[in-house]
Amino acid sequence: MAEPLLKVEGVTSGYGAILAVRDVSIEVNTGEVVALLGANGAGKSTLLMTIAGLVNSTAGHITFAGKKIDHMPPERILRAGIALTPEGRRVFAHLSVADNLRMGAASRRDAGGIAADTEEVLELFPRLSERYRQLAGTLSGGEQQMLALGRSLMSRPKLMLLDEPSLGLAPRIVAQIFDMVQALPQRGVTVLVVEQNVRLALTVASRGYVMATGEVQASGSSAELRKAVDLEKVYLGTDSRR
Amino acid sequence: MGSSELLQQFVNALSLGSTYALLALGLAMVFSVMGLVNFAYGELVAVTGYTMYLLVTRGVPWWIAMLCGIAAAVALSLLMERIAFRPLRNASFLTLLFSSFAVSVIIQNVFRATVSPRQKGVPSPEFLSEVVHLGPLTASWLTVITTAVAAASLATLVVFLRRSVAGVSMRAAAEDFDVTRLMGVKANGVIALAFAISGLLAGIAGVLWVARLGAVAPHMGFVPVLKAFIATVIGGLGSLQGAVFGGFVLAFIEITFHVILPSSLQPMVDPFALLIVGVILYFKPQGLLGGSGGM
Repeated sequence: MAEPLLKVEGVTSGYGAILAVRDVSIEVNTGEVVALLGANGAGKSTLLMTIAGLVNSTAGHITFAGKKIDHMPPERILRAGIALTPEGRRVFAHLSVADNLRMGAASRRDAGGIAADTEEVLELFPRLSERYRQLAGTLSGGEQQMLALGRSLMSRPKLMLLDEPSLGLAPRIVAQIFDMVQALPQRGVTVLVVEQNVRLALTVASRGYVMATGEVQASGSSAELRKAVDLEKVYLGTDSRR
Repeated sequence: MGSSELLQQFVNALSLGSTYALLALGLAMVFSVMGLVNFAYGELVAVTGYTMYLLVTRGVPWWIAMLCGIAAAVALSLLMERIAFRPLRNASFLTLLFSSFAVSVIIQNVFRATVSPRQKGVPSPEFLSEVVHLGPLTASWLTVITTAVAAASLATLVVFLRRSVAGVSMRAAAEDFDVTRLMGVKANGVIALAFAISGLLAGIAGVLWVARLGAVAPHMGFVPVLKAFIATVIGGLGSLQGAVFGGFVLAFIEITFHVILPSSLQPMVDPFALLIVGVILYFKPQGLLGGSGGM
């Protein structure tokens, strides 16, 4: 069995005295879509941000493609091939769609490749093409999510970390987005997706981890997780929240 | 007051406003990316002046002294960032503010100790005081060149911020620094660039300032940074367009009082101008263009 693309071993991290992530170990293999499930406050976002370098880990190791990336600044982690699509989209509202996509490619120097990838992203998300010169802040929630995903794709990542891509979006848009997420491995992008919508996450992911109060409580294939009764106990309300 | 006099004052206001706009923009550049109001910014203007003084009095041609002055401002700005502000990157706003005061005082004392505590004259090319007639208007070459240089600088900066990747990265960093880092943009690079541009603008404004004043003094940076600060606050702290707009608004307010007040009350121009600024802020605390922080 080949080495996992991403290996998180015994990682603890948080904000000052608050430990949001406690001794967490997960793995993501190349070509997989892995889901990270759990209720609000379970530490899922913090874990993604720790992997991406925005939050410092106080214990444990994170290895990506054989290299240790714990304590690397976010700029270097992006250049190593990990792109985080943050919770709440966080597009640059005062920049145009075009400039947002340009920012996604900020780490690249190949003008030709950037132009080709921009074309691809616009084909993937025709709405963005229509709104190419518009300010990102004027886009709808769904369009902003597409922009955030497109922006991450522009860096040609090997691994994409998606933090709650379905949050606050209409079901139809969510379906569109998750169709795209499911197709990412075919483009050579491995995915780790955080989702509160369990049913949705398990339709695109082949495996998953369940977190609660900062720790991994359960893991397994999607089929196994779907059957597990404990899931209901671990967090309250899923689809009904929207 | 006749219409030609009115027009004349309008031109003066444009010239003054464009200098203030340049100054304000340089200050706003660093604030928008780092949240730091750099009170040592005035010293960038002063170091431009002192560099020019040292070179011109040694016979160096004015235009070379001018370019060296601008280079000195850029260098000092980058040095400040590296030595005084980078170690304090994550410190509180107040710590950064006090640090900038400290840098300001230190630099002023370097001027006092190495050159002179007193004012020193800086001769400018004679043609600058010559007058040129544009239709009904009369303006000195200095006024015309000031407006032209400031306008050209602003236009170039706008193109840079809109078109180049570095410029777009700066606008992105001003909006969301963390997400900009997530794009692979180096934090240190963006901040250094902001300080470099800040230094460049201060240098250009400094050349125009010294040409107008004709002299340098250790505390000469105080007025430029004060005007820059007031202008950015009027326009909306954090907004680059606001800084430029605020610069022109401040100039227009000052020229208006300069015209309205009788000669005996001329020293009251600044206090009255500040009074109006206070009124503006009372009704619009975010500044005239403030609230969005966009560029």
